[in-house]
Amino acid sequence: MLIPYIQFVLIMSLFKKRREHPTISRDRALGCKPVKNIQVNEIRLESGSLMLTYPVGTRPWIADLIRRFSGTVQKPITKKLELDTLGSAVWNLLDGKRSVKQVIHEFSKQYQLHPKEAEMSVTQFLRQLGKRGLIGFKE
Amino acid sequence: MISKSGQPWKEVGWNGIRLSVPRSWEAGRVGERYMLLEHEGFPVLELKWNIIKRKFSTEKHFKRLRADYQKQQAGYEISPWKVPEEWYDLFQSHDLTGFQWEGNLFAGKGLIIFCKDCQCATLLQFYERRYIPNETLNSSYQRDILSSFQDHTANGSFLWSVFDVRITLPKHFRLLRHVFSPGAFEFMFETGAYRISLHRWSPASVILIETSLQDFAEKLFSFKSNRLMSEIVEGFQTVELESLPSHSLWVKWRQKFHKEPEFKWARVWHVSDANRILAVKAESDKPLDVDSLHSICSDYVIV
Repeated sequence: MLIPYIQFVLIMSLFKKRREHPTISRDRALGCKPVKNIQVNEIRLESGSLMLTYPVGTRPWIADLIRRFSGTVQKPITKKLELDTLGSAVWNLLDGKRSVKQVIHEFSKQYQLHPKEAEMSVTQFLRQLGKRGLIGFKE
Repeated sequence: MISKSGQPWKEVGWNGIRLSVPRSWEAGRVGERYMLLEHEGFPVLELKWNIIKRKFSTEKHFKRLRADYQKQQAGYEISPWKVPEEWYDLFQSHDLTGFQWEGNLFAGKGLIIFCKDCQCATLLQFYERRYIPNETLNSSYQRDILSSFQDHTANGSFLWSVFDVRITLPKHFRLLRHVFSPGAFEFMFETGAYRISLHRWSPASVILIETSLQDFAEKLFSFKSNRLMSEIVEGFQTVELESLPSHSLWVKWRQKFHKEPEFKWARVWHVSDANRILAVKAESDKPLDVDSLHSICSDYVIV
């Protein structure tokens, strides 16, 4: 039963529409300015680190299904994300004016990090924040 | 270090190869016998090397390389390149063959170098970005880099210097594994007598917020220490742990079953000026020479 299913999945993957990822040069990416989502709330914890709370939207067709079957409008879901000390430090550097490159430089200076190490950790962290919709980027 | 071209330079070393490069060049990828140096995220210099135990001809190797690329249909061809006369003066005990290639984004000029003394064959190539008009690497840079190139040393020691760590170890220390992840570096070596691993963590100010150096060391190396020392050594706050063989039959049997070394030693120290924590750990089935481990620790520094 499993083998025909795997075969089916493999065959269907050939017909899957592949999304083309836009390419952007390294210099352009580092020149982008990260901007915080205005719907994100920051709560400062006793430890000094930050807790971010942000609303998560349901897909319209799921919300529609819930509305039809339960007859109620679904309340927006709020998610929480606790940042560690380094994550909080990067978050605090995001003011919408600094570019990614400037954030890396400031972060590296603040903690005496090796520039390459700071670049890797900051870009990975910003990518994660971007995926969750907590930040956007402007050129 | 200032090069002849007046720029601040640094020394890079990895598994037998050492050379001086501009300070802004950083290791982008590091393998057992491979190093790619980058400048602002773009490749600038690539090195591959190996010790060849049989007869080696740089020209034959170039032909093989060319044929391989033709087979792979990489989209560019490798052609011979006439090595400048002055470069031959830099490599008097070496055989040299020059080559060049041009791709869509990058072009490269390189050398196949074979040292007749140490039998080390090195493929070294400088990259240029083709999409930036008139970007050619200053030839005096290339000359300075090549003049600093070493594939063996007279004293039989290897320099290991990448990113911000530096140590010189005897040649017989064989690299087993290395990890460079943001915040934590590790190199593990093996010699006939013991296995040694070098560690580096940063930023120390964050790691040591909720834990002491001693707790960090004990948690990290997780061996039951018979002797624990915490004091200032060479100006750094230092914790030293040592585990000696147990007399308990049960522990001896367990160690034998899990192939655990009987003798373990570790030193962890906080380099507060650089905001780093460094550590050296050694393990062996035979008693460890702690004096030689202390000298390894003294030589392991942040640059």
